[in-house]
Amino acid sequence: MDRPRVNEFREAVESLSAKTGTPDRDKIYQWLGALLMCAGIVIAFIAYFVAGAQNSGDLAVDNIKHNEHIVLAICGISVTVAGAALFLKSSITRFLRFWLIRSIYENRSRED
Amino acid sequence: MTPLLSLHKINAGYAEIPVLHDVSFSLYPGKIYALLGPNGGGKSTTLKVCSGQLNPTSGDLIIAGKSMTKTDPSALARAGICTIPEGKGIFPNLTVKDNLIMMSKSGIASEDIEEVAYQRFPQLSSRSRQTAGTLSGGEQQMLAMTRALATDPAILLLDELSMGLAPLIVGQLYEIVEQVASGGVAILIVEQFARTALEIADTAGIMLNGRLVNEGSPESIQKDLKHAYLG
Repeated sequence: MDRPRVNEFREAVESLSAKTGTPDRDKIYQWLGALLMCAGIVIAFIAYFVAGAQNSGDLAVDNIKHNEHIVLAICGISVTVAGAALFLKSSITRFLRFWLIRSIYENRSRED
Repeated sequence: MTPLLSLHKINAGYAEIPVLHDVSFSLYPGKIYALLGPNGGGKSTTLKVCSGQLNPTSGDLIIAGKSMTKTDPSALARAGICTIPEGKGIFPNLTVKDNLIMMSKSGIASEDIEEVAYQRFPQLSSRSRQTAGTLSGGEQQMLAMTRALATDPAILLLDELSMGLAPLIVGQLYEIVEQVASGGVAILIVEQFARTALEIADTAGIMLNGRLVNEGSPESIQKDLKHAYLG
């Protein structure tokens, strides 16, 4: 009687972990996003202040250093944008999941 | 034949209140198990243990030969255990079509799900844009069932399928349940109204006060029903 779906099911169960208490992935991503947001801003500010303090007396060297710091600041801003996207995505996922559960419970109580 | 799902001496309850006492039975692919008994006997609690929604205090939930006690219910649902809860579990404010889309899995087009659903229950196709809450009780149960079948379950758990429905509709729904079982799905029917469920079941059990007091063929269970319900 075993049809392919039953075999698939057996394989799916075999790959499942029998332990509970898996970490809340969304929460981890949310924290990671917030951390990246802050880190990016800090990197950009550090690059700005270091570039501002750059004065070796040699204009060519200073220009190269300034360019390096500009690249670093852009990288920092990129990290901030990526972090913000990650933060927003995980926050919205958590909120929408909450909204869905609430909707199910409201509908169920209305039916009762 | 190896069972797809087995309960082994399950004890479970809510907070400090014990509900189930040493409940053991098995579900096999392509077979229907009817769990019967009066209200408050622990049938729905048993179903919650089977789907992983309620962790037993002791005993083992064995799925496909593996002990899965205390496994995340969403993981079990993804693997292929599907529950149709008492009260149908549909979204009454959404249309029939939207209810079906809600159950679509990634990789399966919603059009395909609709096509299969409307083939199985043609009366739903003319009501695809109607809000589910305005359907009749039977149609709502059909929608609940078609949503469940859209997930291509390996194990289907049905809680009080016949509740509040006309006998004719119940008969139609149970015909579908039989068809689904013949496709190799293991089915657990939890029912208060026993007669129709016994007509299609391969094995049946009677639950009283949280204990499985009798288990056997539908014919043998039929004889004990009066005693179980009336004492």
